[in-house]
Amino acid sequence: MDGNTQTLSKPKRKFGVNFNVALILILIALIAIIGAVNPTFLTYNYMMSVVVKNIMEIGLMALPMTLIVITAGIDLSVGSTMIFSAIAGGMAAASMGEGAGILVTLLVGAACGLANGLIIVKLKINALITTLATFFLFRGIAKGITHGDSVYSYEFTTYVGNKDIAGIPLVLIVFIAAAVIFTLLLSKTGFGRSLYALGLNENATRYSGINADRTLIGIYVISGVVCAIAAYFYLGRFTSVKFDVANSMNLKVVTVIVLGGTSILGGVGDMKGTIIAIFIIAVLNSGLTVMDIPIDVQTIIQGTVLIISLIVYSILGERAKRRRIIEVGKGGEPRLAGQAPA
Amino acid sequence: MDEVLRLNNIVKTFPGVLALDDMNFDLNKGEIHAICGENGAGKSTLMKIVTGVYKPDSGEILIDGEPVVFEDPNDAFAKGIAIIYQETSLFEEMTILENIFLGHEYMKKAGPIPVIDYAKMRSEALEIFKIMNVDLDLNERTKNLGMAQKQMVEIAKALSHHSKILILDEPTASLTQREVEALFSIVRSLRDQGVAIAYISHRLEEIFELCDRVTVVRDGRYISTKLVAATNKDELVADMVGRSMDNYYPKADVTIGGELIRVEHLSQEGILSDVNFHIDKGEIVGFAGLAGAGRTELALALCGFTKIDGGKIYVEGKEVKIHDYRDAMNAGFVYVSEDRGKYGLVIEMSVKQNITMPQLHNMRSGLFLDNAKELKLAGQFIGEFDIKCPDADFLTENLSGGNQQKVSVSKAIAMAPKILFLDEPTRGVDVGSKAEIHGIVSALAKKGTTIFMISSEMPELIGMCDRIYIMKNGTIAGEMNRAEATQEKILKVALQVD
Repeated sequence: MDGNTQTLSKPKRKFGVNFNVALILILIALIAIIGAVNPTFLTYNYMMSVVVKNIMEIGLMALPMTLIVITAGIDLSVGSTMIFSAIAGGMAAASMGEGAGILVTLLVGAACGLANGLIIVKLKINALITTLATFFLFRGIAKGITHGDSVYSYEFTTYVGNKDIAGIPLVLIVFIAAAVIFTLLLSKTGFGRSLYALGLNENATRYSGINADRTLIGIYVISGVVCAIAAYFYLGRFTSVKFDVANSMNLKVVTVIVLGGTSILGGVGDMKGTIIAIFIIAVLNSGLTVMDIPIDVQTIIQGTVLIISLIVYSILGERAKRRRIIEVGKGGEPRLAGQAPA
Repeated sequence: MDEVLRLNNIVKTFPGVLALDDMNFDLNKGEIHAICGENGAGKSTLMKIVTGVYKPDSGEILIDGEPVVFEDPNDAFAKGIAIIYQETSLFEEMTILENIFLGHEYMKKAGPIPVIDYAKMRSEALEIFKIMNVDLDLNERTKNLGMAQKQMVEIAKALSHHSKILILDEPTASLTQREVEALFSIVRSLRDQGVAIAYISHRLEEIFELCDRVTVVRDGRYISTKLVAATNKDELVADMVGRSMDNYYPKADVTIGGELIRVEHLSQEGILSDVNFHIDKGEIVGFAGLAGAGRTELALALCGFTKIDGGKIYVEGKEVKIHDYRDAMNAGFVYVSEDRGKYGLVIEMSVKQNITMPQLHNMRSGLFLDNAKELKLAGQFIGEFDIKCPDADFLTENLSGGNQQKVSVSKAIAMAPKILFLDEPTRGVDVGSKAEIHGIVSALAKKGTTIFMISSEMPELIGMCDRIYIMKNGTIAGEMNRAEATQEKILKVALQVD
């Protein structure tokens, strides 16, 4: 295998390796700069317990979100799905015991994803609109069933949320396993190939006999299930959750995806970019704090980083396109009807 | 008579294609002049020259006897030439009045501020409606109008620009009989007011009902101009198809096997009604008919892309139920779309990825795709069909149209179908690729694959097919075998000329 199955579109195909390398260089530079300002940042303990742990829920949710965005969809309801499933699970655990809590969390997550998928695919409502609506809807239900009260962690969530194995947080191990699975799923399987195809040309994909409806609904359900898994860690880490926490988490997930080089228009991107971007955002989040940079300035810096990365992608994409046109022109291939003959 | 428009010896070439060769046309004030010809005869190119979309390579355009050169469509429009297409370009949320004057609204001053002068526009619009002899509420939103009424608004819009030459491009294609009559009465009253009208249609009945003169074009050439009163349908059909059959179709003689597919009483509300046909193993069967006759719709219904309301489908004598394309594929049906860019290929993907896409489940080793298997399958077709690409990972969008079509066909044939549905398999490909595709299809039939071929090119159908079904209004209107089929006979059934 020559590994050319990962990325399909030109900007990533021609610049993909370079771009992921560039992302890694940015990550290393950030760590070096922040570490130079405040060496505490570089300690193992700080890295694991602050830098990594604070990003893991976002990181987990960014994995299925990459699949969704590659099909030219989006899921803005991920944060709400996570909180809703954490709350529903916590309440079930309190009234019916541990097992019920674990199960209800997963079922609620899956149900939220299924609802998104069905509305988007079967009722053909734009994904952005649908998940914006369910972003509010899931929060609303979470508020309704708790009457605005907090829901508390139970034994299972407390365990997973705080467990370290050989000094490595359990959540990081789970994330690494998930990252490997999702990377292989996207780059090596027919399922992954069909996601790119759906993002590039949904009609032609359907006309190839690929069950587009089932595939699309499937990835929203996967997204919901991963939100539920993130919910265990989130509830365990914070010991309690209320319906109104983690409000901007969905946008942070989208930020990670875009920074990782996945085109919001679909068809372009890969899982490695997303994974590197997760750690860049993690380092920025925690690093700016240890550098004593005020929270509002942090937001400005994060916004600026995102804008710059978008501009870079746009320039690289344009350049790739221009090169393509020159290549075609060289071959003397007439492409446009109505052109004057040479 | 006052001649308002004349085209002399117009030549227009596109890379590799002679679209118009020595074309002539003239149009008088107060006449309706029909232009007719088969699909691809050059009618649209001719109209695009007249409306300034294309510039001719040579030849001259005269308006009121003066030579003119159109730089762009606005230029032609400013000189009084307006065209009404089948599809209207009105703004659905605006009123009729707003649409008519869109972009050239009358203004007045309300103090220092210029505002739209609705009163003046309204009175002028009513004036135009009077000329046209129509009665529509100017405040109605365009989205509430029927197709025919929208065309009336388009015509009114053209008249508001004081257009003196009106081109109607297949205006009746989507109208009901009553709407057609209303449109005709408007067109007649415009003629009586001195507007010059060019009327493009392939419905011969309409030409005899409405038009004063008729010009026939064929293969990009001017054939004849006749007074409608002095000609008849048979003469026009003969002029339209005229050419002798080019016999370069490599149809091999094939022993036809037993029945492969039989369709009985297939229907689809408002689209297909009581379709009955059968095709034998190894047989190439053509489906002829005008655009909108239901040929593509029939193929899509059989392949499970659209739901059928009734009827039975038998494959090798056994009834099959098809709910989606997967079911159809399992029954051995594979469809190749006429629009390869939209439905046939993901052009941003490689040749290999396109060819393997319908059968990724066969391309695995364990859980993962096996690049070696993919390369083997793709390589086989790149070699067999001589697809001109440097390697299997080459992006499809960088291939020529003909080679893209070969990828699209390869992708289907790689599925080893029992019956291959080819929808306009050679549309928009160059002559060389066309012959290659014909060769591929013939070779497939020889190996026992059954071919359901939709084509609007009659020489292609007659040259390639063992039998031809002719569709009209969503049903089979006629059937001919290879020996008896001629373009004239097919056209007669498709147009229902007796």
